[in-house]
Amino acid sequence: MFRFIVRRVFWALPVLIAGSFVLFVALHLTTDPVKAAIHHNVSTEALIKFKHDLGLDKPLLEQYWVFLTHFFRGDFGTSYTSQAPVWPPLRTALVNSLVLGAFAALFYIVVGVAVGVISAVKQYSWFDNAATGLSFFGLAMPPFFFGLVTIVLVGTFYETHFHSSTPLLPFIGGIYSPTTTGFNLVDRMKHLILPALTLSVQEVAVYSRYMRTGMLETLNADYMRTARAKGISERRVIWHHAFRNALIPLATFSAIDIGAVAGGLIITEQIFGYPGMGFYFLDAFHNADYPSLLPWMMIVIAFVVAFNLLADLSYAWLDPRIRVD
Amino acid sequence: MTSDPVNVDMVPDGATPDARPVAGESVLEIRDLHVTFKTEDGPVFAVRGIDLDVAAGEVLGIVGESGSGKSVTMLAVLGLLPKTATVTGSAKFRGEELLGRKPKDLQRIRGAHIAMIFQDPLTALNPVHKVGKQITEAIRAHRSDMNENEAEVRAIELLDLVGIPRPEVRVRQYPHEFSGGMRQRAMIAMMIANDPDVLIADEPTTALDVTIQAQILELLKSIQERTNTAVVFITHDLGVIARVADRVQVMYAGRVAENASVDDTFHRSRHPYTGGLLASLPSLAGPGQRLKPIVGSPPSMLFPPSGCAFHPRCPLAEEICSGEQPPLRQIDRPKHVTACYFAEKLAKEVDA
Amino acid sequence: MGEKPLTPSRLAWRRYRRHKLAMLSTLVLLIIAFMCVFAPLFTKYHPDTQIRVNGVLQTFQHPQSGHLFGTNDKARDMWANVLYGGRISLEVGVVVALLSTFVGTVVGVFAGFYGGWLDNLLMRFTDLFLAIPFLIGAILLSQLPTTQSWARTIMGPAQSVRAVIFVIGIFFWMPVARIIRGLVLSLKEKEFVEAARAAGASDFRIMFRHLVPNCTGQIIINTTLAVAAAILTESALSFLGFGVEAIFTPTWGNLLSNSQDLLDSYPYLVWAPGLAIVITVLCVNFIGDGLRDALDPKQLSV
Repeated sequence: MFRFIVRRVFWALPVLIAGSFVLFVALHLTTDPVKAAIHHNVSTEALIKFKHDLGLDKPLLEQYWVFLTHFFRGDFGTSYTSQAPVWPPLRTALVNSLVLGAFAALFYIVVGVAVGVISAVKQYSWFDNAATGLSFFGLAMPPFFFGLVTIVLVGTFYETHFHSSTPLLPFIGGIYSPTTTGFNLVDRMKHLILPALTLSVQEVAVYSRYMRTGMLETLNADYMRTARAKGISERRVIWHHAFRNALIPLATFSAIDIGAVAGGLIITEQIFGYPGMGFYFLDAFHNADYPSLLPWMMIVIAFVVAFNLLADLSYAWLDPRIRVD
Repeated sequence: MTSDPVNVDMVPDGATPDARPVAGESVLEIRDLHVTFKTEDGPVFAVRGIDLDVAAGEVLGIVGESGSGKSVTMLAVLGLLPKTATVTGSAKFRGEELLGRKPKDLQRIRGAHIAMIFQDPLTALNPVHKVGKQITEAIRAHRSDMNENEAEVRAIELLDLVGIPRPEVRVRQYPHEFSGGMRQRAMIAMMIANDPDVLIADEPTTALDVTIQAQILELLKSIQERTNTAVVFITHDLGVIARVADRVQVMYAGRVAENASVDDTFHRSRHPYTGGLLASLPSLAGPGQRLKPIVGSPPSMLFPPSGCAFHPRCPLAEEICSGEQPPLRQIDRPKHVTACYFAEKLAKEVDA
Repeated sequence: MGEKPLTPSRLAWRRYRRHKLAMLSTLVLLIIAFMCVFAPLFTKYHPDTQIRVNGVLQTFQHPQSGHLFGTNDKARDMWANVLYGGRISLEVGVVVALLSTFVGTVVGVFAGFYGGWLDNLLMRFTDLFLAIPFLIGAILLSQLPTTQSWARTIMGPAQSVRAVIFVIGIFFWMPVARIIRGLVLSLKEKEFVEAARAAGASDFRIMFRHLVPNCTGQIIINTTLAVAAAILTESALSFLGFGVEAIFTPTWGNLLSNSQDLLDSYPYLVWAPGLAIVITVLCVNFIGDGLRDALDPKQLSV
């Protein structure tokens, strides 16, 4: 088991490097910070000097090497646009995304799994049919469409029909209302609700369908009949035998899904102006702000790779047939 | 062996006696059992009127081809059929009616009074739980007085009983770490853990090698002799029947063809289907002789044949056979019934 | 009973027919596709025409007779835009699905069949791409033609229909390759492959005449669901500003994203393309579900 972990970690590093290199190259091919800097009304000589100062006239590989060595030393450089160190805003963005991701995940995993299990156990009941219908609907809806609809609902709709001057839930930007100072849990939570809900719509649909399929497979397995033939309670049969087996693919899927959180909430964050990693990326991308973008990429890929590893580990841990590798 | 404590939450109609059944007492009595499955293509009539009796300490062998309804019958008794199945009739365990009971009531019977072992031990055991845990689970489902440690001790005893070497090590292993024969032994251990009155074995050796088959049969026989448990042995293999059974019930297309002692079944059969099964055994054909299979193939249970279901394949069939189902009746031998209009004619041929 | 022999495909069709939602969805989808493809039959306007009445630009007209979905800020008829836009959205969906399934299947079959270094290489490659968050990769890729002429030759101008198809398709083939590879790995050990080889079949023949046909069920299901995913992805990219540019042609995605700020005041501008997407994707998903039931390998025997 230990060797398995070591071997996977060993492979993770090249993936990290290769992935970031590909993105590095792609960045350089698709954007030009010099062009973006033209907004700031500078002369051509200044631009050339600018390019030289930033090391952008050196060959790509050299630039990448410089970046990589600095990164692993913990030096993330300064932003082209703000001239400020990259790490603090990046860290804030990361924390914000993780908070939103975790908060939403807690909700949609629990709800999705529960709905899926009940749907499978009571297959074809009204609950199952309703859940299936809603899942299909949730999966068919572009996530930002749902987000827009909720904004209207809690905004103008609420204001006109409930005669209020402020929306039911905040939805414009930030993690706090403009009036809040310092750390305020309630305010923070209020700002999380709508983005988390929007994120959850698709996820609950996915998880419940996935869980339903997984449970149905296990519910029809031979060992279920054996379990019942032993005379144990039906509840134990469902949870200890069926669910425990359905957990295997679920855990793997879940780990990979969560690993995507670090870079994957772009749309939700954009709808609500939530200052997370996705928002950060779009902003930096429009400005071709390489120093901001490159560490961002490393972190995102690292997350994905780490959680993929976790997925494999959980698979091995939950399924005793896979122990030896 | 210790007996079960009287269960306080028992249903009024018939209390499960706490003492072991006496020899000859009827432990399982099935009358007019019908099982129909609802499928996309229409109703499938898997079992069409079965009567069956098992006495304490006796080994009843149920023989039939796939689709004869032999497994379905027993699954129906334990309430282990899917929701698409409709079950009518009566199945009594020591006087207590089992059909139509709530699952909670059946849980008390399953594993403790009537136990069942299944065909493929690899898929029948849960792959993610240790074998020991699966056995202790069976024990503790019916023995609330035992804790996990005590149950594990008992589990090790049971594994030893069924002939698994180094049981204290094996008890902590997973099913995939066992060989096929050992897995079946483990399943047997799991199901006899609570000393059931009836043990149903549904083709327990079909998925195993021939040599292992013999071992498992020996094991079952020794358990049966020692504990005097009634055994219902379901199989399609007449050779197995000859080794283990006291009585034989031959089933065809969801109905009983013949029911007799094992000796009568093999030497004095009174049903053409049984005769056909016996004739098709390779050992009965001398060297150089052709095998004699039964012509045709088993019928689809979506559209069972009218009257006697065997008539399309029967050498003795006449017009009356496709009309009404022949009743199960005794011809000459005691405790030997057969469902054939021409049993007497057959008897003359067979006894000759 | 039946006179015709019960081939697996006939069996599958019969099972599909039983899935009422799938049948209904097939009908609805066909209607939608028909209306979009033959758009000129259903609207007299062109999506670009700016409608004037007595010389006055008819901007922001609410849904009324003559303008089923109203008009937008540029006095263009929304019904026409949704119909013509549907052509593109459906085209993107279908082409991406077909292309990615084709490429994915070929790669998957080769990887699964030959194994060894080829398999390793291909799997590491897909691993790499799967490590990059999809939208990020798509965004980067979509901007490639802005600075690189070689990209412009292959993909067309940035954010054109061809470019978007390329961008989405290039990420979609990888999960397909994984699935097919997995299937091939398990099928490879079966006896019919040994039999084919013993009969002298070449590798190519085994792969494409024996293995792939056994994957058709999975392939069909994947392709169908990919159509829905591609349509949703196109709209997501449009939302972020990286989808098909409106100047090229309307698509449901860019219609939706261009109207998002107007949701409060002119909701019909958002509902029209939004519902078009939802209904189409819903239909495709139901069809996919029906196909999954019909083609379930466990049920292919009577």
